[in-house]
Amino acid sequence: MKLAWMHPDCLSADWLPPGSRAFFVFDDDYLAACGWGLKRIMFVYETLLELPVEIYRGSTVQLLAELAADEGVVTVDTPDPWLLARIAELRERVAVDVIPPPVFVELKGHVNLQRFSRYWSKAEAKLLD
Amino acid sequence: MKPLKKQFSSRAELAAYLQQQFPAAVERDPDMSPWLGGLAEAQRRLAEFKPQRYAATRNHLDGQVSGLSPYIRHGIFSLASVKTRAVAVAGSAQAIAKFISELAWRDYWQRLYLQWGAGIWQDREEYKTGWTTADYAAELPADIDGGRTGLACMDRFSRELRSTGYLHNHARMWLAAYVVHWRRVQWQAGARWFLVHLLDGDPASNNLSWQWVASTFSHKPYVFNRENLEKYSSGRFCPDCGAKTECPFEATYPDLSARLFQIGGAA
Repeated sequence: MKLAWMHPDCLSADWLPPGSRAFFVFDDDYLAACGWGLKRIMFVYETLLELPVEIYRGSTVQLLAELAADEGVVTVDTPDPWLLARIAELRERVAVDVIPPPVFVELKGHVNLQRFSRYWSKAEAKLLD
Repeated sequence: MKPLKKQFSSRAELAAYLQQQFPAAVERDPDMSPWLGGLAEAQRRLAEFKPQRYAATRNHLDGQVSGLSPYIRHGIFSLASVKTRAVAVAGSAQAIAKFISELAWRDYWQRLYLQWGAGIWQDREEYKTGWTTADYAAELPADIDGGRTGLACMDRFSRELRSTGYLHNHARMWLAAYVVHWRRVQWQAGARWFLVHLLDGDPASNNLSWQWVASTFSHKPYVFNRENLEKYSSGRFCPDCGAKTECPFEATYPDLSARLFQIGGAA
């Protein structure tokens, strides 16, 4: 079975395949890049304590590649460039499946994001239906 | 490599363990928040939230807001699941349109994050204040971070941010406007400060909201005046404020525009 990488944007058992062995990695590089202090780490850690997840500290890619061995990794998609870069690096070493996160509103075709009002003009009817 | 510990007898024991494990993070921010992490706490907050009252009261510091943002930011709840639950409580989506549109703001920011990546740290447009980026200071003044500006409202918000990791949205807007427009500090300095402390700090929501206030991602700068702040805070700050006779927010909007900007246009 693939290892489930639970990263800071998907702290829920609902988002990953049921029964998978899940891991969270506190990576000093990420913590420094995001500027996280004790408040945030504690909030995330308390959340992890309720979840069936093993918590590690170290280099994300190195650790996950070692733990996954030949089994590969499954994780949830994110817009975070730091996390996306780690997914790309991980892919050079093991197979990685990236699952889309739950969809809030499905918008087909080109979505103009220049201002919220333009996005909302497309999303409103679907969200308030 | 051994996993980190998962059994603790108390929050204090957990905090002590984390202080030992993450000294660099403690240096950035040594405080513990009274806000609890976890699904159980998120569910408790969701059960207490009355979405029907949100639209009418949300701008007031004591208004009915969900307090779910840290849990949504970290995926403990998805936007879709919060919306589904709120609609079930209210009876229809139309009845809670404002709340749903605020959930949509997060979806919108995330879509932009996917498009722009680290570009969310750049000015997306020019400031519409008549000033250029070079006119704004690059660093956050220490009196703001330390809650020592002498302005009771701003000092309270600064201390609350540090001690709890949460601020009401209106307080965030007032504080951001004060930092950028009254103190003429680059929004990036304020955004970095918020991201260190906010439990719901998400680079996209945070930075692009700062840019909205600054006017680098909006048509005009956001400003407020004393009347607005007093109205939505029930006047709780002014009576004990040492600066009440020289309040920098005591003015009409046209006067503030003339005072703060090189061109008119704020509202």
